[in-house]
Amino acid sequence: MPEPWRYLQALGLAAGVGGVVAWGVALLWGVLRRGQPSPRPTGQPTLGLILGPAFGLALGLPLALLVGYGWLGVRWNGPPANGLNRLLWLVLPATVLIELVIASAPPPARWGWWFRGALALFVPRVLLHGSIHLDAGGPFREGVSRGLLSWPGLSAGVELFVLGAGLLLIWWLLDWLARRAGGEAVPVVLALALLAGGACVMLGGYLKGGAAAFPLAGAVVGAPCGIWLWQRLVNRAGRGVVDAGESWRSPVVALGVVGLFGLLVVGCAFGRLLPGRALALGLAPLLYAAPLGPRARRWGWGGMMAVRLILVAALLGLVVAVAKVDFDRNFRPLLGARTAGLRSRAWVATTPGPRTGPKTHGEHAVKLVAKQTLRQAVPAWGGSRRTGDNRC
Amino acid sequence: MRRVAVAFKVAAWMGTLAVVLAGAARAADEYAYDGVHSSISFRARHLDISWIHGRFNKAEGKFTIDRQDPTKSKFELKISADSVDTGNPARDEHLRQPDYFDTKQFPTIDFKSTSTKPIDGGYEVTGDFTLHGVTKKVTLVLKGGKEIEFNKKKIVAFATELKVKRSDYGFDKSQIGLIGDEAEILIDCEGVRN
Repeated sequence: MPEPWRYLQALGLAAGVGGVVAWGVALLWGVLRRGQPSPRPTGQPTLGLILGPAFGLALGLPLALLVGYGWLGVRWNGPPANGLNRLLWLVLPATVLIELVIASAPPPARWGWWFRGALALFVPRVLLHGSIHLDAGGPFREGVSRGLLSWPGLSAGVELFVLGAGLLLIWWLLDWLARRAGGEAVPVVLALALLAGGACVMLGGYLKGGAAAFPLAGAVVGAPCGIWLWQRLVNRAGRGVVDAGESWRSPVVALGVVGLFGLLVVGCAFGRLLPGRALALGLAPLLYAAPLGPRARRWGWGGMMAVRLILVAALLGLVVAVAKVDFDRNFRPLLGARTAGLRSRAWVATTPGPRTGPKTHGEHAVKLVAKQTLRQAVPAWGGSRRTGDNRC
Repeated sequence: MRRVAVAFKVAAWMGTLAVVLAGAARAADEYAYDGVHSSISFRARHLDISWIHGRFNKAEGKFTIDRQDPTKSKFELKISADSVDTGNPARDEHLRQPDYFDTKQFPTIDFKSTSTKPIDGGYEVTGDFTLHGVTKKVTLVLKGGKEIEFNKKKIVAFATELKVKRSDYGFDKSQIGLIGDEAEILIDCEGVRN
């Protein structure tokens, strides 16, 4: 059964631990480097001030994830055998490690994108390892929906490459976005997308997969908050104008983007998340770059940021709402919940299953209306209306 | 003339040997799993007050039965986890998800025997049972094994039961509250001699 309160606790714990540890370590690093030369007159921070947030994140992000997932009861249980465990124990640690190596190097570390590219190309292969998506020739494969990787005419290798290239492109775009003015909110956008992705995966019936989004979202928001507070403290103390964006935004964006991608691929490949919804959730953070027109300048920096956040949240909310409708139709009857109102009855009427009595004219009409509405509304999100075909 | 007699004797011995060898080879009979006349079902506790029953609709396997030396008999069964059927399509879809069978990661439930012992009325078969990607040694008591002929086909049948704790096979412990940890698998299968 879903435990919303426990998920929120994991989110809060991950955010709190990530923020406090990142802030504390960055501060401690600054104190330890007090004897070093003061910032240059140009306002450029010293290497110590660059490395401070990097070390803060080096401890803050992994600890936030460990505490958050520990709260949810996720434990190391031998070599990761399923997609979610491979995401949590292989892909996310590798992402943090690579980003911290890049962040620790003196900027600009352009070679870092070679590492990121290699990781992006490997991530889909690692997540789908040993599954029917990569082994179509095994027993009982006939008629079994392969889901995510079932594009006609494309081999598994090409599909994996397309997925990896897509991840790298979105990663690069969001990293670029995070470095622009107003990019401070990109971690918030990623956290929102992670929470929406988690909700959709859960509503598809994969509770554990959806729950995994909460600590990740907490870490992605908490650790930058800690670094932001540290940055304000350093700037107030008059140690030069410090903008540690180069060194801390990229690891946070990387963790958020790779985590979101992994969650959506796992939800699609092993759960019932529809590819169309996964695509909408994956691309939603890019809406943060939407042009608002010349009039928007009057709203100021904060206003523009808020409008963009609302745009992203609206798209994410729409996708979650559609997933909720599917959940009510497919899974709510399993929970024994009674549905109320004409609309709910219409959805339930389309659910295939044993009937307990003869169908009335009224019920038949409701079913017809519901079918027509679904035919019009759903193709945009992909998938057909029959329960059997609805799997991704 | 003497040479011809020796040649006849050698030929006779070789023929006898061939017949004996052929008999020995036939002593180990191979059977293919008959999906039409077999059934693999299970039941698990729901809320600890009732039982949920279900079955797996697709399976394949083979068994080799050595009548002369039963310890050489072998049994193999491969069940399609995706074919789970509890009579409710929504629940079946939920059971296929990674919170339960994770059928896209672990598409089959397998049993492969490693040793066989004849017992009264059947065989005691020890082997590797793989469920949800976790392999454990289990011992099955196969009742039956009597061969009959029907429509010019040699048919043999076995029945067995197996109790498994889902938590031993890597199932999510947080999902064990509603559906009990222990499940019973009942296998009734027929094999047709190849």
